Amino acid sequence: MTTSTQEVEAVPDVSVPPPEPGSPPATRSRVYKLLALGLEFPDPDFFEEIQQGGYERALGDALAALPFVLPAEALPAAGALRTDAALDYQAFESEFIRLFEVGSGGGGPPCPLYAGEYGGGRLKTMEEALRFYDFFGLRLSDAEGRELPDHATVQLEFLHFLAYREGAPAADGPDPVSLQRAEADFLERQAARWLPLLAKRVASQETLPFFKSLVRLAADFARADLHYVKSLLATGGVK
Amino acid sequence: MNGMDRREFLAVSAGAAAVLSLQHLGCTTPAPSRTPARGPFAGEPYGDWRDIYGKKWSWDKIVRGTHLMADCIAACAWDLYVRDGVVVREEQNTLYPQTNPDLPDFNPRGCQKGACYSDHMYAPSRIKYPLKRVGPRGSGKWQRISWDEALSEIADKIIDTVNQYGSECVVYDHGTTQIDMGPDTAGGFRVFALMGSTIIDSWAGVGDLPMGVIQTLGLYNMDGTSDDWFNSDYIIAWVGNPAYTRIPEFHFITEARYKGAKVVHISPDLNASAMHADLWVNPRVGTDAALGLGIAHVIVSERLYKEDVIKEQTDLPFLVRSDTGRFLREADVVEGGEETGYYMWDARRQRLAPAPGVEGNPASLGEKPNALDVARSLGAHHFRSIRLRGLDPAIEGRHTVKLKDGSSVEVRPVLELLKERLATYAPERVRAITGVHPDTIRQLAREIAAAKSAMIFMSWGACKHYHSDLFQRAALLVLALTGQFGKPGAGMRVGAWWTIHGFEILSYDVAHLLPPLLRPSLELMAGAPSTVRPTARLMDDMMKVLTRQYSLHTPLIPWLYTHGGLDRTAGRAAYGDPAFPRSVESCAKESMEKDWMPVYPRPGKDPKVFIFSGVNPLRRWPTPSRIREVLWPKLDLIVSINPRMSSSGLQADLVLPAAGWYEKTGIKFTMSYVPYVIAGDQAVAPLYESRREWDIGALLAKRIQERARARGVKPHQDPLGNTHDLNKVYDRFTKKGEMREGEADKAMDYILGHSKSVRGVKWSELRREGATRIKHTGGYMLLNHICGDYEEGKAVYPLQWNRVNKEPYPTMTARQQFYIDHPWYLEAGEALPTHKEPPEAGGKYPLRLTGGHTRWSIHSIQRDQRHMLRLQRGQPAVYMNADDARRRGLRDGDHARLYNDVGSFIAAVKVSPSVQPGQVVCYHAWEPYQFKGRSGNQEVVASPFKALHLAGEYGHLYYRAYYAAPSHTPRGPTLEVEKVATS
Repeated sequence: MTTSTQEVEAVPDVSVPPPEPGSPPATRSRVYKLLALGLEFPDPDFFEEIQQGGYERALGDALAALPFVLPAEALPAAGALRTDAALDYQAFESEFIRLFEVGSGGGGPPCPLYAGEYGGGRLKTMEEALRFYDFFGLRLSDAEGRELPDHATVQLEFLHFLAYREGAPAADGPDPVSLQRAEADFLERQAARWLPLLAKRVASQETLPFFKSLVRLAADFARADLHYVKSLLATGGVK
Repeated sequence: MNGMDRREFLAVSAGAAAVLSLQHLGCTTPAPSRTPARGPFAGEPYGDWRDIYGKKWSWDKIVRGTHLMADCIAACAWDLYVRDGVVVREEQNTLYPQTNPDLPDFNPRGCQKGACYSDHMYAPSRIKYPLKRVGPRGSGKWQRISWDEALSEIADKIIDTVNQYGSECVVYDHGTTQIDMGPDTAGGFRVFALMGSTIIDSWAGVGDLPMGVIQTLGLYNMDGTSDDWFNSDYIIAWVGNPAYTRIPEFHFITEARYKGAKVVHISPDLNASAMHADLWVNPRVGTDAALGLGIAHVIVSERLYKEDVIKEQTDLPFLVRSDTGRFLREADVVEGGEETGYYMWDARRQRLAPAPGVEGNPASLGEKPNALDVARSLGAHHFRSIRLRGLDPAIEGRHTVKLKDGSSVEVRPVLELLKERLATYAPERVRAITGVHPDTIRQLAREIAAAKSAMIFMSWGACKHYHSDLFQRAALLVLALTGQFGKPGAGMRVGAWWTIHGFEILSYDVAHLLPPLLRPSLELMAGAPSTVRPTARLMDDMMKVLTRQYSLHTPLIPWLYTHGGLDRTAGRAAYGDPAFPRSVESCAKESMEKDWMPVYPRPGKDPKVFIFSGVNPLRRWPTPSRIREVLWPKLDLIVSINPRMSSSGLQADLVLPAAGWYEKTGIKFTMSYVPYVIAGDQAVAPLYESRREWDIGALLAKRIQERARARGVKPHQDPLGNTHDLNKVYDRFTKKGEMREGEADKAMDYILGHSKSVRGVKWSELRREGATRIKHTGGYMLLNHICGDYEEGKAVYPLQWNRVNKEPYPTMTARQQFYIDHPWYLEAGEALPTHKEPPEAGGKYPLRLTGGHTRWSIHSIQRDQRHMLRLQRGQPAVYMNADDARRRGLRDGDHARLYNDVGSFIAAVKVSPSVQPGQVVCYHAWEPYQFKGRSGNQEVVASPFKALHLAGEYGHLYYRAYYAAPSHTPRGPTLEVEKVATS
């Protein structure tokens, strides 16, 4: 028996005018997306970007434009977000699989990229993430190989979306303060809660500096952004 | 701007236009309907997180589901609650109506393992995409590859192997860990059977084969519905722990007890079932046969036996020659007489009388019979009956008979010999062996004899000791003597299946190899009404023909003995039976030379490709480190197909992600406990890039066919002379396009349409309803030896056909056979049931390792499930008696090294007064990777097997698929325990 108790909802119109380039929401949105891209499964093209420094530059530029200052220890050392020229793609891919996807000793990877693996209950964490997405008219993609709702890339992408829409001046769009409140809650309950735990685990691994730096940056950025959004909300939100 | 690739996104500089790029979110509803129904985009502001829980108890859909390939005995219906393609919870369904007011119903079914599968299916150990090893085996270095690459690599290696070495060097193992009776299990078997590959038979290989039941009854998959337990007034759980292993059925025992039944539990340790019993009897480990024989001693000496029953239903009246110890045969007495005719002593006429109903040796059909041979045999067998028709056979006394050469010989009925044997098992002597008080033994004997209906619940755990067969024979003897079988609420219960014939023929599709009409004749016979029903023996003969002549089934333990290094442990004389003068080596040699026990590839030729689906061989097989040392180097390609990364997957070359249970459709294991076939609908799409096993089988067949055609591969013959054609393997797999990849539901309709047990049910209907009631047992087949009929509203019990209808048992004597006059059995002193001390398999150490299936996992599937781990110690643990622990300086929670001459492992110690001194319990199926150094509890398991079990071509003792073969014996190895520092 299959019963339908909920109609499929429409997705929000994403073709609204974009936020002002360089504005705080636009920059924050971009950082979230760049972090998500770094934690996606690597393909050879993207590995080349990393190796040649394109990714590090893009992220560095975005970080420099943030409306708040990250703690010095959060900023990756120069060159940390690019890989050694001697490292080949297969070694990079294999290490990504070991660290985040499969592990080498059984029972899953040492550092899974799923929020629910870091406390709070896996199903509860996934369901809450879905409820956030749903409230903002989003659903998980139907594409083959789609990720689960508590995966780092999905959560960072959601924050990318919220920040983007926060800065998008749509006459009939939502109140930006609503979006800021949601960012603060989602960060507090989800991303900023567990990404630091992930970073701690990765730090304990013998792995490539790239992964250590990237995950550390994601964790510190999520916490700093939470602090920033909360400070805005403390004065009524939107700046 | 959706779907932008990574490079494109990077290319947009920080100062240029802001970009929204969604890969994982959105995109489900096309324009123009862009306005959400609620939330900030619909004018509903976000206040705080509580707003998102506004419609807390709503779902996208609720799906009828079950845990499809769990290989658990239960068929439990669940409702699955789905939100945005994620199963967020499940709940037991109560869809089993009460059909008989005198019996309890089956509601609810389910256990804690099923209740947390929604969590487990999302565990990080799930495999997301095909993986290819890039470092040494086991190094943990993987590369992601596409399905296309994986299939091509496997297909080419299979073709190379078939061409260079022969198709039998491609070995497929489905084991038992991930099995159901739908298309996904069938798909795996199907593709490899069509290629003439070796198929591992793991029934005895997992230690689940009750060889003593086969030796006695010629069958073993005999049980009924679990509501029949309610009909019993005396329930014995003997070497079983149903509170752990039969969770949805256990209430029938409790309800029978409320009704007045006495519940007895026999086990060395006070386990979770024993605490619910009226009487707990705790024999020393491995002495159950002695206890059974002590009970039989009392029954015989106090003449508590049912004389009319044993005269008709057992071989106890059969005459045995005193000079040779062999049955008196017609060939001994009559010129030109049959080797397969046996005699009783007609007490009234004081002369020999041929035993009625005897069917003799197998292979009366010949090796490759046609339909006409079957029809002739059906006629010859059909009218056989064990009814005595006025004959009153003597069960006591000595008689002299004249042989055909004119000489005379003394003969005695088997019961006379049995009495001599039982004389050595007086309760006082049995106490010295078992530790059980003689009064308790006498009490058991008298109560079993006096009960209206006594049953023995015996689990598959009762098959995992070296001498399990002797225990089973002794227990069956107790039931036979007291007439406690073949009636409601009585008999030994081992487990059985409703026949899903469509599943069997889809799995092993050898129709194109068979003479015309042979298979249809088998199908007709399987479902035939009682008036024309063939005997079980004829059905067994047919199954032997099909699985020995048309497929390369290979029993696991002889296979490991030949190819996997098991000879190094199982072959040690010190680990065997000192009373048997022959070595395992000589018996194995004779057995294989005479083709009693098939092993493919045959000795001298190595397996080259090993593909396993669901099964976790390096967790379950004995001494996994030796397997890696001996077998692994022989293999050019090792492929694991599994939803999760197992200990065995970690040592594979390619790992293919299979879909989880809620991600595909199917039907559950159809064990006869519950008279329903339970269906699982697909709740969500396969996670990540996983695929259901049916599709994997079809795609592999397709790729092999494509590559074979491209490479100009010629048809090949398997070692049995059957011709296979890789150029047509996909066409055959799909039945010329009837059921391709993505069309598993068509295969399901095929299965249902060819299964009399669910006559007339369509898959569309079954998936909607979630269950269908059984219409028929499906007939005597590979997994169904119930020998009873199904009648709606009535409980089913085993051996009804034999006890009530007087149909022959499929044994050499057509009866429950307690005397086996095979020369090896005579040499070993096991012609009659006896007790033998278990061998010191592991060396001279003071403790014995036992175990049992755990409450918290089905095999290794949920062994690392976080919720289940919280209900126990959270890590591999062994249970030890407090005195044993104290003597070794061990306290609860300490870690210990358990070792013997074979290997060692480290585990936490739980000190428990419920464990018998001398016993160490390690429950089943921890993954080796959960142990320190990945060395699991199987490392100390030498798994010696009884050479007697290699005997063949003796009446009912022969090999066919899922039948008589040597067993894995993980229970009872000797070992010592020492404290180690906790790291």
